[in-house]
Amino acid sequence: MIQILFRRAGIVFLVAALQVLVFNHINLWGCAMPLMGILAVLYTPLGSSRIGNMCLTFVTGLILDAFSNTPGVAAGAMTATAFVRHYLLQAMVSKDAPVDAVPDAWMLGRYRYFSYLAILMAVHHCLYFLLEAFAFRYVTDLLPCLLGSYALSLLISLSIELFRTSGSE
Amino acid sequence: MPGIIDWINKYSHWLVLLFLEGISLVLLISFNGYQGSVWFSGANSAAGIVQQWQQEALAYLHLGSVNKELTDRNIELERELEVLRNELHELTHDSTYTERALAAKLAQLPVLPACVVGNSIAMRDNYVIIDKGAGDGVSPKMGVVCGTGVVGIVSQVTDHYAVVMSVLNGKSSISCRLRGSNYFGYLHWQGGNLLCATLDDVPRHAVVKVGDAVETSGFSNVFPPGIFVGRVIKVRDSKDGLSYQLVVHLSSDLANIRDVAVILNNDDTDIIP
Repeated sequence: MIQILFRRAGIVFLVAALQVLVFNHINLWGCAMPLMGILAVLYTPLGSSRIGNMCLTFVTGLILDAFSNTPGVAAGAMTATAFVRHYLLQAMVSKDAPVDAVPDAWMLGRYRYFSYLAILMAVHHCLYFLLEAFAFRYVTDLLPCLLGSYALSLLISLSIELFRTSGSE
Repeated sequence: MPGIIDWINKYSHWLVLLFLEGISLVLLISFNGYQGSVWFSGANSAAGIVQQWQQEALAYLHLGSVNKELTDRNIELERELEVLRNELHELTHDSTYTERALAAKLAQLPVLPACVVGNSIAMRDNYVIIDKGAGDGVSPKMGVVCGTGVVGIVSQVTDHYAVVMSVLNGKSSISCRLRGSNYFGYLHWQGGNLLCATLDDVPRHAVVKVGDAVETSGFSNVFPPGIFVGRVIKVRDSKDGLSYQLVVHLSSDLANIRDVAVILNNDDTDIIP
């Protein structure tokens, strides 16, 4: 249990450090910035607590917000994404899947994993940019940034997954 | 109570989500200037709309009392208006117009002052006897007026006296008109009330209302036009229904006349004995 907690904490700090130190400095076309905070909850096991996952992403979001000077934006977006993740996995994974299985490309399959990743990333990015804009009338202005960030985040996530998969193989 | 606990257990993830999102929103609004300003401006707008709804609803609920207040106020203003109107009428209304007009009219005419020496009022055909006769230039079919209006028409004369067929004579018929219009009729006395006569044969399309002034029409030289006769107190249909019959309150109280004036002219029209 303690090992799991330390592991989760390690993942959180790793993700936060990557986002703050690396990804926050990537700014393509003036606005496209990868948002990788969701990685903290992306690979939590199927049987992990829903509330625990939400709290974990909330804390991760708070840390990211603290270092990105965006209080509440990442925390809100990531918490809601963690909430959606549970229902998404319920729809994608059969009920007899082992509770300690990690939803990755090996477990879900490539196409299903890509769908899982794409949907979660889309939810996270939409919420993040909506909270940042805080008004629907700016959606059209934000759309290029949203799409750019989404594409970058998806590309990086797929790269990480590819790295993970090749490493495990 | 167990039901509530079960419900909380069942939907605890929703409660946690709302709680965490609430914290995120508080942080977002509190520590981000832009989002904070958007939130407060939006909240102010929403609060304004809600307050407007509330005010409209309350105003609707209080319409009864408002209506009563308005009614009371309206009554008060009506009274005030009536007082002011009366004051204005008293200040501007020239109540001596008729008398002045009559005096001015008589001043332009060759008149002969006379005194009433005999006057009957109790008959169906009443006459007035004046102390001026043919020796003074009086001749039959001359008009006789007093300071308040028409008295009658000279019927017979002697050297020093004249008999005047007063308005209170069933045979008297004097052409009169409504002041301000050219609708005319014939003034007759029906007997009875000494202050009331009727103006017959007024066309039905004439615009007549109670209070209108009746004056001589001037269709003959017995009476010049514009000598005040009286005022309409009632408008009714004639017996044949083809015209109006106006009940006229005579301006001259023939039961109480002393000084009269004979209008001197040589024409002999107008009277229809």
